[in-house]
Amino acid sequence: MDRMLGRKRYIAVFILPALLVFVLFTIAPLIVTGIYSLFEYDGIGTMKFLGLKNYIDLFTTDKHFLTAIVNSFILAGASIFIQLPISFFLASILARGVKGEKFFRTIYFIPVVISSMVIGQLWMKIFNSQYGLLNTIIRWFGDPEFEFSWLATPSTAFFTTVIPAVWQYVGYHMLIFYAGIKSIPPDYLEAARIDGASKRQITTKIMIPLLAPVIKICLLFSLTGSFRAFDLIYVITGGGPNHASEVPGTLLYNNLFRRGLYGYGSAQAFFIVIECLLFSFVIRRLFKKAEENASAV
Amino acid sequence: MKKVLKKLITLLLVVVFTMSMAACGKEDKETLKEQNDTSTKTQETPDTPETQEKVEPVTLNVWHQWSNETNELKKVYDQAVTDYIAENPHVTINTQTLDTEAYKTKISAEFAGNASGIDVFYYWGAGTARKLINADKLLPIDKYLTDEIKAKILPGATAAFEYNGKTYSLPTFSWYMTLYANKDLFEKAGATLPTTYDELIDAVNKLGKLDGVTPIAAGAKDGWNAAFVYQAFALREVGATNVNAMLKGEIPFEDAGYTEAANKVVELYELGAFGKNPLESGNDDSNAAFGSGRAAMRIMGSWFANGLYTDPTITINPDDVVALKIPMIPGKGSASDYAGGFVEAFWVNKNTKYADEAAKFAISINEKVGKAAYETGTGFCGWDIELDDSKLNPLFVQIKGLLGESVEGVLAWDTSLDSNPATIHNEQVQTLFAPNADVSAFIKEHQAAINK
Repeated sequence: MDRMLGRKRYIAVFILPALLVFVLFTIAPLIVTGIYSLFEYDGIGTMKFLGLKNYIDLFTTDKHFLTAIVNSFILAGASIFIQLPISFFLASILARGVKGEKFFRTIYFIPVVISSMVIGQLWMKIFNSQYGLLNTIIRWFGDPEFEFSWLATPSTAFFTTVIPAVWQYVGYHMLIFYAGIKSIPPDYLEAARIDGASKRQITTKIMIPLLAPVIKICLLFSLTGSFRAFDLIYVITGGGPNHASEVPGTLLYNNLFRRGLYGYGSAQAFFIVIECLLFSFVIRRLFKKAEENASAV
Repeated sequence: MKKVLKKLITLLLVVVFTMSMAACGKEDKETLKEQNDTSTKTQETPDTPETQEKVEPVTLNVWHQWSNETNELKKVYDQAVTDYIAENPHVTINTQTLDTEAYKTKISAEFAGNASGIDVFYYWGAGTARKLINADKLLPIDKYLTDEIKAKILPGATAAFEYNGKTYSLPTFSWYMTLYANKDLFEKAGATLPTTYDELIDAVNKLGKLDGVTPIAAGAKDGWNAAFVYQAFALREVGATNVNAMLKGEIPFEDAGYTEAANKVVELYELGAFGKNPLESGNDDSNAAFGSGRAAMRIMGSWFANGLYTDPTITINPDDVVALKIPMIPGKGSASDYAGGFVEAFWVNKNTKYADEAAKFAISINEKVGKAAYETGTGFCGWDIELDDSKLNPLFVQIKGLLGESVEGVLAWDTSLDSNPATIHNEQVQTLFAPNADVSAFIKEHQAAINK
């Protein structure tokens, strides 16, 4: 086996199928999207070359795109500052070996395996102005006539969709943190305890630095997931009312498949790709030193 | 020993793979043989003139959007296909379906290429099919239209299927925008069935006082539902001739009536005609609200009538429902104007391998679906053929009466306009169903999208 892997020709043969699939289904569509983004194209008729006009329009004339970008950053902020801390908190409790550890691990993970369509329907019912759970509770404790529509009011629609979007993947990140915490050798924690470190000190001085690679992965997933968010928001509000809860994903879907603006929609899609790559690069750079420290231990 | 074992396992695997492939090959041959047998049988049928020639078996891939088994139109289509195959045994119809939104996306994606998996497909004429026509993706069917076929088509029914002097499809059935009113709730509220806008306002005020009743179920979460309400008032304000000219691009979107129509939607919203949060409920929610007596009125196409009799979830008595014309605005428009018309049909992909068979099938299925749609009370047949009225529901008969008084129709705007202005129109109308609606912004957005 070693002799076989030592030959570069064999390695190339083994890698080739995966490389082909990757090029065919990821790189090639990306290039095609990039090309489309330079044209005025309705998806069926002739293509007219526009150069970078679609990209210029994105930032100069399209007010909905700006709303979508701002919303995606709000979602990213909520994911990083609300979702990840909750996930870490739950993971650190579960990893300490509480009673019913397996049960809770499964319970928290359930929303991850449920289809976004189902989750969307569920939260739409919760936020319904007439029979929704939220307004029913408000009616019990406050105004009995309360019928505010959280999802149909432009000022609240997006923030309302952020709640299920954050809730859905808490279990996912919790599981990654949980696996990371479990992989920390217990000797380190025990040594810290013997040295008199408090629980808080163990968490902040031992666990978090050692979890740097895991935190990096969770941050990457949260951030890129927020930038390319689509399904849940599409189901719950469809980007409305009047584009108030638009994210780049819903906007580009609308442009591509409803308005027939393939060129313009492709420019939006390409922007999301570049945005995700850029932030992935920044996060990698930020975590480079922390990761080196963690692996040096 | 190990080497021998390895060789044996390899040999065994080779044998297993070879046998499985051989088995697959045999099955394919058998399938092919069966198909050939069918075609042979067709050739041997003595009664039809085609049997004198050698008839090649043909498989047509047909796409439509009625995927739900309970959909009346799906049943209509399936029966029509069965009848067609009985008349043309050498043809196999391979039907594929998707729900409306996914279906539209699929058709767009397929025709971005040459749509090789589609021979005949269901689509909307007028503005919707225009981009397919401009890209030369559809087959003109003029050469297949015999005098006998032409004589059977209702006058004016092909307008949405003609482009640049060529005919690309034939009508199936038409629809008619109706104001459905629950007579029982009107009586409880002491309101009269509205024939004018002022009477509508009066009815809304009275119905709004009934506990748990929304005067008009708008379904505004779905853009096309919201647009129906606006289009109804725009038709009355501006008149069918002007609206049609605007939709065709002959005159700009600038008539003051469009602003007045928007103001009327806003006025109704502010009166609570559509409930507190109309943007929260879509088409299905609003159909259910009307069907369960939680809403007194619904502006919807004639296809809605049949469901009131057949949908098991409907709890109101359909005989309590009255079909009305869109209320008139005194001094404006004509009572013979209506919203609706022929727009849906089956079309032929220009790249089909079997142009003759596909065109023949499309013509036939359009006629059969038109006939069956009428006979089941779903739509009004575009063909002047013998039709059975015996099973029509009373509500559909009422609508038929209203259609009989009508002259000039306007199609739904989102099927007449190109996809970009159509989407902007639907989205903009939704803004009228929310607090602080800005009518001047609504008009400006329309002008920017339509007056290009």
